[in-house]
Amino acid sequence: MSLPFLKRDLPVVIVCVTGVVMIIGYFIQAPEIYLGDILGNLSLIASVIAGYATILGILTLAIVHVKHLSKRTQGQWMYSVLLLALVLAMIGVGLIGTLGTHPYFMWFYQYPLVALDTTIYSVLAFYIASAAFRAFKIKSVEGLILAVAAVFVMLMNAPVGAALWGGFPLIGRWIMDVPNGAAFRGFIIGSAIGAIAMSLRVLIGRERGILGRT
Amino acid sequence: MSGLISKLENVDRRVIYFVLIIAVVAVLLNPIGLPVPVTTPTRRYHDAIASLPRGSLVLVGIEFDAGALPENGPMLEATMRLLIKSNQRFVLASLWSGGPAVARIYLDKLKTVIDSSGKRYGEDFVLLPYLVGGETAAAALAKDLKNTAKNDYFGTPVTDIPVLKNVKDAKDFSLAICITAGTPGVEEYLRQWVSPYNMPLIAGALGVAAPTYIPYYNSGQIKGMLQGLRGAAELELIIGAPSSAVSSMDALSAGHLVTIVFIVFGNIVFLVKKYQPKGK
Repeated sequence: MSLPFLKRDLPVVIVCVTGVVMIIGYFIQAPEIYLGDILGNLSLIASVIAGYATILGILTLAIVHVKHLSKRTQGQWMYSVLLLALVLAMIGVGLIGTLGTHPYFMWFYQYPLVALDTTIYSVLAFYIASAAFRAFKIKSVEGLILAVAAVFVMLMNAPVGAALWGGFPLIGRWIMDVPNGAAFRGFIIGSAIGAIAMSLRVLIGRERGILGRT
Repeated sequence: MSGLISKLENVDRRVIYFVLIIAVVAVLLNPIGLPVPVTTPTRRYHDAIASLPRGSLVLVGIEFDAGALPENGPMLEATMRLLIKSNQRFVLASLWSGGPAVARIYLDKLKTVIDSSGKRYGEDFVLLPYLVGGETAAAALAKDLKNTAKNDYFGTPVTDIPVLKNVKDAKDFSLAICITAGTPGVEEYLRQWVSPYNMPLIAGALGVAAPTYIPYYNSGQIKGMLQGLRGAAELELIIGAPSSAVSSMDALSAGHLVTIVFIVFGNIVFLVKKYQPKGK
């Protein structure tokens, strides 16, 4: 088999065949079309590939940071040392006994990781307060609508809203259900149509970005 | 005058951070105890679990990681309390790598509740390991649980676990619960559990993500929903077990009020600057 066929055409054939089989299995429920085992095995294959992708991700991350370390990149290499040490530590304690169940692993997860991760997430509250002060300027009718809607939704969400005035939760709920619901419904339908179009292009081999440079 | 306006308009963000932290810490140290009315989505979330026949099998998808623990964690805790209280059997599963560790934290936290209820690991509930593959794993789990997760989190073969004895696929579950901080999450469960198997689904979502799920809730694809920490607090109150979410409600109010005050303040400064006579 020629190299272009292996690199360019064979992946398209594999994607097309597996894609069509999965679509038939999902949408057509008929006893004449029995795809149970094939679908199950394809799902398992995809899960195994995803597992290897995780390993590949860790290796790529390690390569990037080992390079920083070997070059002593200014302002970076010490963070690379920290990152590599912590990745190795987590992998090490995760491999003790049954994967990810040892008390050392749970300690690493529950105390340093949870504390660090939640701190990063909670910093968002400060950025939001600062951004709201600067961004919610009423410069136009649209700006006015945005600011008023934001205030009502915030007062709907916080118990203080109902304590101040019973109308805040009602109006806030209406904003969430009706204008917000309508906007997100349109967004969901639009993105679903886009995903279908993109998937069809991949299945018929018109979209080759997934193959990388061929 | 214009110098003052300019200073106020460009107030250092550290001032905003300082005011916010003072407001939040003040109410955490001196709780006000504002009432938390229960909203319809939370009531429906509760009823979806409480109305199940005793001993029903429920899938609990822990689709979040350490970062979302302060908001999603109380949802999981209250949900597990409710499942135990209403005498249901449940399977804890996760498409997120940190999900099983999160589940362990809450299983340890609720140990006395579990022990006093007479529930036993393996017979009434089980924790599955991380299911790698995102939506594909969700589909595989729904199609053939025992081939997707061959062992539980602790390495016991699923064929030896009594609660999973008669379980083959999604049809053997009465309800799916997805407590999520993003993707994979609600939409994967909708596509792989709700549409093909008509599985009733209820969800717990972060406050910032809940608006995106409103169309699914309004259409009835999601039967009930916990919206952010507020939703978790409401569920804690319904089941009579106020915990970390309820105690955070005053802080939530303080944080929101500070943000609103800064929005109003910013607009006053903006309007004063806009309409002040030129040259002053």
